[in-house]
Amino acid sequence: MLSWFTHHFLAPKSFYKTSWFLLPWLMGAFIIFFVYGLIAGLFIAPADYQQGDGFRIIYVHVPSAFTAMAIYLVMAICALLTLVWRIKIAAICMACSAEIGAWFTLLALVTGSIWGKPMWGTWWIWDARLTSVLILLFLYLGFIALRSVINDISNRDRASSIIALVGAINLPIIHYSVIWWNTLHQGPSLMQFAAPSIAPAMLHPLVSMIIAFLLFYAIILILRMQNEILIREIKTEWVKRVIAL
Amino acid sequence: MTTQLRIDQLQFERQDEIILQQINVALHASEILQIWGANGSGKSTLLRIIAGFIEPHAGSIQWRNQSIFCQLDTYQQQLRYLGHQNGVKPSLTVYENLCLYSALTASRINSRILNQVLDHMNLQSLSQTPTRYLSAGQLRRLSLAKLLLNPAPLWILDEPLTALDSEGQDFFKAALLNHLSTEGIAIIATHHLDLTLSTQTLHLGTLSSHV
Amino acid sequence: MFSAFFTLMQYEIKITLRLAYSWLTPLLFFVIVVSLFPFAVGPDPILLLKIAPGILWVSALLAILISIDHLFRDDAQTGYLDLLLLSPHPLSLLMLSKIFAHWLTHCLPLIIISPLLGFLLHLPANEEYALVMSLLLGTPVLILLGAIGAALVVGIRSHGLLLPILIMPLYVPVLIFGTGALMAASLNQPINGYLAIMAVLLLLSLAFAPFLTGMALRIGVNQ
Repeated sequence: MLSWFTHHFLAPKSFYKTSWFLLPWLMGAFIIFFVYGLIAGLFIAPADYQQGDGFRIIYVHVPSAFTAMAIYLVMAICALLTLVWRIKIAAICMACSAEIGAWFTLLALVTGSIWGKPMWGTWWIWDARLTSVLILLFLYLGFIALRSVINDISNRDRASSIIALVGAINLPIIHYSVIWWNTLHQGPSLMQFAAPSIAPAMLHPLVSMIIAFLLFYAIILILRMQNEILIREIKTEWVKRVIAL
Repeated sequence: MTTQLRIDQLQFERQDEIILQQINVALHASEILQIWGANGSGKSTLLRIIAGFIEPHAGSIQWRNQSIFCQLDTYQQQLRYLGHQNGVKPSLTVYENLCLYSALTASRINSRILNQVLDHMNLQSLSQTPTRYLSAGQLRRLSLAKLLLNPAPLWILDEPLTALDSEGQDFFKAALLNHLSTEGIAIIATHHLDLTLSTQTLHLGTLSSHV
Repeated sequence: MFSAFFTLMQYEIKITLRLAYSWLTPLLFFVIVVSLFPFAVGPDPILLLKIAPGILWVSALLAILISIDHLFRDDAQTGYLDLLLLSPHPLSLLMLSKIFAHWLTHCLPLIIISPLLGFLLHLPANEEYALVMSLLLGTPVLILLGAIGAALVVGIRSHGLLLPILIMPLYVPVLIFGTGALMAASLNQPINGYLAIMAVLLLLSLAFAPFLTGMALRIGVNQ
């Protein structure tokens, strides 16, 4: 059963074919969640009583930070599948996720910085969350840099799997040590981002935007993976037929 | 006679370029496979694949009827690999290098055996010299001395005769014959060995193998 | 099995001691980088005392980072790594032996000289103690994590600054708790909590790193 699953369903060729059927559904769902999140977040949700309309950047910042973390988790799981079970599609998924994850991380940093200007009066503060996101960006860039210097595909996949795993083991440690460092140096924090409780009218658009961002990742990931599969299997008959079409 | 090492339909690619293709070998006890080929024809890569360092993209390698990648630890204990580099630490002396090697291969070697091997390879006078002062030929002798330290059924040697003088080559041939007489197998990439010793040859580059 | 561990370690130490530059370079680097700071921020003793934890820890981290690149590179060039990979002993154990030898020869001298540099930055006795203890617990973590990266890039010819980029982000927790211990000591607070957390980091990296280094080496050696 398991071997059927990995060899047929997860074979690059069948993934290429089945993923075409998934795409319209993902895109439809993405549009619904994105449009609802955008309209509800920008117009329906009440303005924050302290930050006014400035808080609305939360609908981009939090989803992109969340998606950036989620993508690293996906990469770590794929890394384990690559190293232990040598599942080809997992390596492809890991390879294609990295750049998307790095862009989301950068987006989270930039939006966090823009949000910081009205809140703190400065573009950058060594806030615990922003700092962990910055280190996440370094982890992504290290991963991408390592991949760019290794020529052989299977070596590239396995070497980058190891660094992804090491990063994933370290990420929680880094995260908590940064939070701890922040409280040590800043005293009682003035800059807690998300309030512990949030009004439902503000929360629903946020959840909707998070789902929309994850769906967007899934769509871009599938498109990139299809591309990567064609490149990797360029010599096989089925790819030649696909390209000829 | 059973086949000890069997290679079937081996294929290896590097950056979309096929380096090795259709390699088929069956080796029995006391046989030598000599690998020929121009520079860059993939001899060293093939040897590294057979030694289990690299996995081929297609095909199988079986040692005693089981894929080597399913029994990598036990398989690698039974082989001795000598690459183009000699695998010696330049700042250790000849004697220390052999001690370190015997510790790494988990063989219980006493100083008597060590000295015998040094004598045999004519390295006794150099035993306290750091290996960075050795000439290329002397280094090659040292790495051949490692082969003699403890026996193993499979030798994988990459250009073992490079830089050796005729005396060194004679030593090597004697050691090789002794290895064969104890049912050993050797896979050697070289241009220098005369064909009378080898029982099989594999020409790389032409992508054909003949017995 | 353990005799191989000690034999390998003994020879690794012997080799490093015979090549004085290989263990003196990181040490000199450490001393010079620390002594550059007074030129950069001014000789004010109060300011120097305040930023001394950061100066000492970051300089030690960089010195260790430059030494790690040599952990496997020379062995890869001489073909000696192949022998390690073919050895019947567990590769994790051989890696641990090499890493421990590297720590003894490259980090221990640094730790021994660190109180002297602390003295130049006007550290009081309890901070000197915190410095030595935090370096003793923290530097092995740096080496263990660095070894994974060094094994991954060992076969890459034009690796440049890839190794620092790969592993420096992973050094953040050690840096935070290492300097944290010194800061706490400067406020006359107990430092045992910091040292305990660093000990946990050490145990965690001892558990994972030698195995991952071995795995990385099998991949790295073929590039």
